Formats: sequence, structure tokens, C-alpha cells
Amino acid sequence: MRKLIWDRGQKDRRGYRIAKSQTPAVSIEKLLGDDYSKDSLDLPEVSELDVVRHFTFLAHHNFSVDSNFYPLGSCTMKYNPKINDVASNMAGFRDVHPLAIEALQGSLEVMYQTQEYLCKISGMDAVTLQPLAGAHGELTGLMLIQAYHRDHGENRDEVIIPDSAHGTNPASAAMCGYKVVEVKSKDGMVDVKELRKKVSNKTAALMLTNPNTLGLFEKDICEIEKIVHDAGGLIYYDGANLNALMGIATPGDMGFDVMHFNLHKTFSTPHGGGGPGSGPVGVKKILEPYLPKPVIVKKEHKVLLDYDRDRSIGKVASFYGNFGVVLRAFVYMTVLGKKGLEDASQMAVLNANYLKVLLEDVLDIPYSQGAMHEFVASSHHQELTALEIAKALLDYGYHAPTVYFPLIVSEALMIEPTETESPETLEEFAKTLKEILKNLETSKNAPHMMFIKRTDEVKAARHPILTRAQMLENK
Amino acid sequence: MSKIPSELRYTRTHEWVKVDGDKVIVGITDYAQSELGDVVFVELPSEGDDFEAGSEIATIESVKGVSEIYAPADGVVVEVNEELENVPELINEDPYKDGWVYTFKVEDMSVLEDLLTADEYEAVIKKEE
Amino acid sequence: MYTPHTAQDLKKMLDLLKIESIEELYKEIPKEVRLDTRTWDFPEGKSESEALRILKDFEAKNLNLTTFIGLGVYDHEIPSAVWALAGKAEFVTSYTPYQAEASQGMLQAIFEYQSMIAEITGMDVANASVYDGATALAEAMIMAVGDKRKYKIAVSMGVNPLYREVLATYAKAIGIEIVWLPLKNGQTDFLMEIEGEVSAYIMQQPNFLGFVEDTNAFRIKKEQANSLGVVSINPILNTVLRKPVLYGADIVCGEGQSLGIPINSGGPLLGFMATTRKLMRKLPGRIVGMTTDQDGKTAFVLTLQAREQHIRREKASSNICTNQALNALAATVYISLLGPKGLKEVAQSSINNTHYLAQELEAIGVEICRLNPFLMEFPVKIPQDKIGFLRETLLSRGFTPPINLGEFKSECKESQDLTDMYLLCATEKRTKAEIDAFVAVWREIYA
Repeated sequence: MRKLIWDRGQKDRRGYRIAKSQTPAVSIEKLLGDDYSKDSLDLPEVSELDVVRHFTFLAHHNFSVDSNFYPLGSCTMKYNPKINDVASNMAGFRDVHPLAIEALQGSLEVMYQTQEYLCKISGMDAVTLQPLAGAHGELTGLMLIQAYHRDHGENRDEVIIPDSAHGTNPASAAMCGYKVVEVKSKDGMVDVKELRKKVSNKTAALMLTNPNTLGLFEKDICEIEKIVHDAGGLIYYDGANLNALMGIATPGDMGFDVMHFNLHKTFSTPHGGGGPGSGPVGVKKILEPYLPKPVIVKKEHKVLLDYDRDRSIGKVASFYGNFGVVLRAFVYMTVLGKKGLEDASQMAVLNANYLKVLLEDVLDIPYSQGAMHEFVASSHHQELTALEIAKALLDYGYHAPTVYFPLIVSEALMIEPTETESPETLEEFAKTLKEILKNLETSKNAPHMMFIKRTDEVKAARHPILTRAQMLENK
Repeated sequence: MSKIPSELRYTRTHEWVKVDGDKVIVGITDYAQSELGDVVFVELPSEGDDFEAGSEIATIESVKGVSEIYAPADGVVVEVNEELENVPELINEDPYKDGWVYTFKVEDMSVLEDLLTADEYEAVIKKEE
Repeated sequence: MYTPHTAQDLKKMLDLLKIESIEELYKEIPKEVRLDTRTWDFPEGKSESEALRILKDFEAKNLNLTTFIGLGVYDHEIPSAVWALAGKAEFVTSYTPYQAEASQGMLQAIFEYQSMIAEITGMDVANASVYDGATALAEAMIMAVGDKRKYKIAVSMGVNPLYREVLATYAKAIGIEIVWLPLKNGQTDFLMEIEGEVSAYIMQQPNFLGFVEDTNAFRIKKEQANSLGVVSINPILNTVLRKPVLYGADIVCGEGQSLGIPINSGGPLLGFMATTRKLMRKLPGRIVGMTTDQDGKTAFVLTLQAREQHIRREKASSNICTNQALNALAATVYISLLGPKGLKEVAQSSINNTHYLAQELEAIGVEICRLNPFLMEFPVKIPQDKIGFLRETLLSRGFTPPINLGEFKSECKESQDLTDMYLLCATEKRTKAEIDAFVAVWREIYA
């Protein structure tokens, strides 16, 4: 039976004691009257060693970039350099309160410098670091687009999104009250003819990922840009796949007006099991007045928080962004520099193309043209489903690729090796996939070697047990 | 091959409709449930709520997807199948009987004549397949 | 840096691809958008030691102050074990646990986190966390509007002003009208009449001035309006406060930074959200559930995913996909170490320190605002002729100056004027000696 942390404890056992209070005791009961609660809480009572054993055990049952090849398409699971961790543990940054403005100059300078770097990499004119994740950046970007059109007296209520897009694109657009208009792909890319039919004076924006989720560069980008801009719409760049383009091409030069970065993808900050991420937003001059407050600006050698922005959309987060994540990205860009960034993108693209060729006789590759940093394979003609392949890979110590995405490819396996893997790792991976497709019987019921076998997701969703209290009730 | 009972009427959005006096009983078709897979949750309307034809009236969730049920005509919800709250799998097991979703009092019964017959519905799903 | 490719590797790879140079891989990119790296103005790379020197220079520009302020983020003790465990690379460098079989560690930790948050908030279920306290409240607002379908909400002016600004930004983009409920004598006027129907009443307990709100008035109005009750709480203080569900909360959310997470110049923080069983399927974000594997063994999985953007796309309950998993894990370790008694001791000790600070300041003639009971934060009134010098002196002696409440936007004219009002806080981490030294500076200015 799996032990929860509660199960390791005993009543009255303690794992940590705070310093003894040296100031006079206040009677909270008297202070609060009816608003006081004496209720004891059903929380673990464990020693420090119990806690250490428990979470060390959990760590041992978790795949990670540090322990496993993690070719999860669209997520850019590159290596997270250790110097980044050193930086984020520096007490001078870590312990400063964001409202102690006078104490924050160093942090503000790091943020300002990061904005500058991101502008150079993206070809944008200004960047805000406030959005706390990619999807949060998307939402912020759409709010900027909305504010821009409102400010220009235009009532545009449609956002055009390709059918290959990430699910967050339509979800973010819908959150801002936009009607989502889907544009179909042709040969894996935006069908320009159809796009022309879909734009109108209702078009607020087109959201585009480039390279797109199939790993293909939208080669008609200049024409796409013209079509949308001529109709009075703006173009949004989903920065999920920026890792292909650092030092190669910029969204700014491609004509994009607004974009978000995923620092946890392109700029090597760790994914942390699902977060924290960071989703800075870059804009061209025309959108700069609408950036969230406060804007971090430099005036006479001093970096300041500028709140005096009357056209700003307002705040989108408590403070100035996920500073601890921004700091890591800053270190990454500093260490890599011009050549390093270009090299990272080049090796990411080379690795993806190399692995694609190695897999050509193993899986279907529905779009055979040149891939960028990732590619989509399909097991449509194989005897194993994408899910079965994914689960079988786990037994060999590989994290699975992204499966069943993008939606326009059946039995899709989206593979992104990233630049930090060696060719040997890619060769081994290809060999393993061949083996998996040979050993059909074993593969079909995989995984066999993991801590658990396949899970009953129907049961989990039908009768949800989301807390320990619900678990006990259920027994 | 999915079941399409001939005595029922159908919508293009894969609901079945059975006329019962001055009201109708509505559920999703066998084809719809097999496309959705294991149903895990059904969000039901409240009794007495009124809806316009074509508006969302209930939501059916499976592990891999979500499907809306739309009102077949203007009308008022009379009764909902509360059993589905605890046993959503009834929709998979018996979509045409125990898996019914709601009964509905339709303002103008004549609009129901526009619904599909079993043969017409069969043609619709053939096309989708 | 960090790319392993040797010259031989490159040759082998290019040969297999039957190309001469890497440049050929970029042939799909139109020439007119190719970046010319010769003119690309980006600094050259640095060695690790050079990079660390740059960092130290920036770090030195921050001031190392003893913190006597809060307003949403607090300087609490953090046990060493918290980040020794949460910082393990197996957690730090993993992705969202989509592959359950390979992610049981993180999934179980999040299940435990959800259980603890449900227990502390007094609600049935919690999600796997959202970005921060402000966005948690914004998501709660959206959730309430999605449930009740009225694009109008009532928000107390006692809610943290930074959160109010975020709510206003989201509300404007979505098309939600906010009715602001004014603060009068330090408490929210919940009984104010509102025209039309609202989806939710939103309050914060204790409010941002540190005062305990009139929860009975909140409950009465929320019930009369047949709307949802949304309460933003402080998880440490909630261990001694009446549970929000007893005064009508349907959604409880807040900032979890107090639970073992450094202030980090403002982020990353930890937004938590909890709700009733009834509204469970409307909760945004990731949720972990318990189930079994093929052999009947206990297993954890991401569940209720039909609500989420990757399945529902434009019909999703929110666009959110990131949670703050690593910070949620840190909070889980923190809560485990402190336990039920330890958490209450943190609350008790912080309240003791804050009240001692208030008394000591009052004794030297500082005007403390005592309109209502306060816990870990309180407002003071500082005359304009004193504040400038006080700020400077506090900074030069290594203390944070108080937060100026007059600087925040007031969305509601009827709400009480906060000009010349400042906010102070003393957590359990402050020693008596630190508090005395802090007060000594005020004594000089007030003498």
C-alpha cells in the first residue's frame, strides 16, 4: 500500500520548531471572538527524517531531464544548467521584498537587462516580464490587442487560429471574449487561400506558432503577414517554438506585432513538474502604451518602475513577474551570448532532423519536408497506437514524446530532442523504437518495469478522489 | 455498427428524441456514446429551465472529450435523469433507455417533424465515418 | 555551451542528412527574414566565473533589509529541509506529469498538497495551484461568472489593492462589471445595496489593512443575492480563523508564499484555490486524483481534464496550463514539517510580534489605527512632515520603510481615504531585538 506523508507519522511528532516567541502572548481567542477557530487540523505529524525519506522516495519515482531523455514535443525539455540554480539561490535576490523599492535596484537591473536581451532575440521593441506563464502571456497579449483596437474605435471580435495550434490559443482568445475562427492547414502549413477568405474587418488578430506545431517553418509568412495587416488585424506570435530561431530569424522581422516567450522552454529554466514558468510578452511600438503596469524603464542609469501609463491594460499579476525564473533565463543568455544562442538553435534543428531521418524506416513521417526543432511522426500504419509506443518507451527509461497532438495528425508522436542531446542518445532512442515495434506483445501492455502499470483514468474521473479526506471517506 | 431504433427521431448533433404525450424524452445516440468513449460526468440542467432550440442544455464528459447536448426545440425542462450523476456509465451501457438525459416540454410540437428519421440519421453517421 | 556536438559528430550527422552545411536546414526560411548575425547586436558569451561576477554585482545593488512589511508576501522562517527536498533535480527538471507511470512522485506530492490545502481552507477539494494570489482570485471570479452566468460581481475594497488591479484588468478584458464595496472604518460595507444580480461576492480575510472583516454581513448578503461567496485568505492566519465555509464561502483562494517559499523579489509565488464538491468540475487548472493501476495498486493521475484547454480548446473553463508545481511541492514539505501545531504556532508568534510592535510604537506616540481587531498587519498614520526622514533613516539602518497605502489606486470614491496611512507587519521570524531596534528608529524621529 502506498504511504501518504500522514501515514509516516505519530500524534505529537514534530518536524520543525520555530523560534520561541519572545514577545508577550496575545490571546487570539479574546481578540477574535466568534471569528476564532480552535479546530485542530488533520495534517501530518512527522519528524524531519520522516519528511526527508518520504520526499526522497517520491523523487526516485519521477522522470526528469536530469535522469532521462525527455523528447516531449513542444515542451523543449533541454538541459537546465546548474549555474542557473546557483543564481536563483543568491540571498541578495531571493530575500528582497518587492515593495521595498529602494532595496530592489539590483533585481530591477536584471529584469531590465533581460527585457533588452529578449528584444534583441525577438526583434520586438519592448518587453514586459509580468506574465507568469506562456498561457498567461497569451492572455496578456490578447488584452493588448483588445486595448489597441478599442483605442482605435474598432470593434473587431474574431481571432483566427490555425487548426494545428496549441489548445491554449483558442482558450486564451475565448477568455477575452473573441470568437475563434479556425483556418485549415494545407501540407502542414496555413492555407493562404483559406486565410484570405477568413480575414475581414472583424479580424482582431491571427495567432500563429512559427515554426508551427508540426515543426515546419511557415514559409508563406510574409504573405500571411500582409493579408492580416491589410485587413487591419494584428499578428500574434506564440513563442512556444522559438528555440528553433535564436540568432536565425526574429518574429519582429517576420512582421509579428506581439508575442510571448516561454522562458521555461527556450531559455532553459526548469519546468518544475508543471511550473513555475514565465511568459514575458514582447510588442512592437504600436502596442507599447498598453503594456501592463508597472513598466520597468531605465532613466539616467537608474532602473525604475513606471506606473504613470494611462493607456496601460493594468496589472496582470501581483508583482513584476516570476523573478526567480527570469533570473535563470538572464544567466542562460549571459553565458551563451550571441554565438551560443545561435549554436543552441542550430543544434536543436540538426538533432531533430537527424532523429527524423533515423526514424524514417520506423514510423510514418507525414510531412517529409525539412523540420525545424521538432517533427511529428505517426504510428497510423503500425500495429501499435501512439499511446502504446509512449508507454513502452517508459520501460526503456525514455520519457514519451507528446502524443495525439497536433490534432490534425492521427496517432501523432511529436518529437523534440533539443540541442543538448548527443547523436548517440538519438541513435539509441531510434534503436529502442525499432525494438518496441518488433516486440508487439510486450509493448502492448507496457509499462512493465515502472512503479505502477497503466492507470484507470475512467475511474479517476468518474468518482474523483482528490484529497486524503475523500480517500478515507471512500474506504 | 451502432444501433438506431426505428421508432425514434434524431438530430444532426446525435441526440435521439422520443415523443411521449405533450413532452419529449432526449438522450444521445449509440453512435455518439461510442465516439465519446467512457462517459465520466454529465452536467444536467435544472428542472424548470427554459431553452431555445439549438442552445446548450447539458454537457457530457468522457476522459478524452466533451460533448454538448442541444435543445431540439424551444421548451422547458420537465425532468432530468438524476441517476446519471452517480452512474454516468448508463449512457454507454444503455443510451436509449436507462441512459436518457432529460424530458422536455416543447412549445410547438410540430417543429419535431423536421427531425431526422432513423434512415436519415443512419445516412448522417455513414457520412461522418 | 551545453551542446555536446564534436566536429566528428557534425560530419556524421550532416552526411546522414546528405547536406553540406547546417545552413541548408534553414532553406525554408525566406531570405528577407533571415537575421544577419554579423550585424546582430548581442553580447558575446561569458564563462561561468564571469557570469557569476556579473550576478554578484547586480546582487550587491540590492539592499539587505530586515523586513517589516507584507501586503500579500511575508518574510517567514523557511526550514532547511524544504528546498533540500523540493530542490531535488528529479522534481525540478520534470515536466507536467502527463505520463502518470513515470511521474508518480510529483503526482503523489500534488495529491498531498491538494489534501493539505483543502484541510487548511476547510473546503472539499483544491486544484494543483495557479500562478499567484492575485490570479487565483481572478480565476475564482471567472469560475463564479461561469457558474452563475451573470457578468457582474461585487468586490470588497478590503481586498489587497494589487489583487484588485488584477481583477479589474481581467474583468475589463472579459466584460465583467465590478461593483466595489467601500471600506468604512476599516471594514467592508457588505450591506450596500446593489442594482441587478451578481455572480459573486468577493472578500479578503483579514482584509489588506490587517483587520478582521464582518463575516456575518458577508454571509447574509451573499445568500440574499443567491450568488457565490469567494474568500481570499492567508493560509497561516486561517489556521486560527473561523473557516470561510461557515460564512458562505464557495471558493477559497489565496497566496501560498508564506508556506516555505522565498519572497524572491516578487515571484515565483503560489496561488491556491479550493472549492466545494458541488463546484469541483468548474475548478480551473490541473487536478490530481487517486485511482488504481491494472493490478489494483494505488496510483495517481491528472484527472478531470475535460475542463482543460488541451481538450476543450475555446470552451475550456480557463486557458491555464502551468501550475506552480514546484512551489506547491515546497509548501507540502513545509506543512509536513510544521504540522498542525507548528502552523498555529507560526500564526500565534506572528500575532504576538505584530501586537508588540504596535504597542511599542504607540508608546512613543505613533498613531496606530485600531478600528478593528488585527492579526499580523496593521495601519499607522504618519504625518507628512515625518515620513520622508523616517523612510531615509529606516533604510540607512537596514529596515524596510512602511508601505504607503495612499499610493494605491482607489476604485471607489465612497471608500475611506487612506492618505498618510502606512502598513506594517512583524512575522514570527522577527526577534524581539529586531523589533526594539526598529522602534528605536521611530523613537528618534518622533522625539
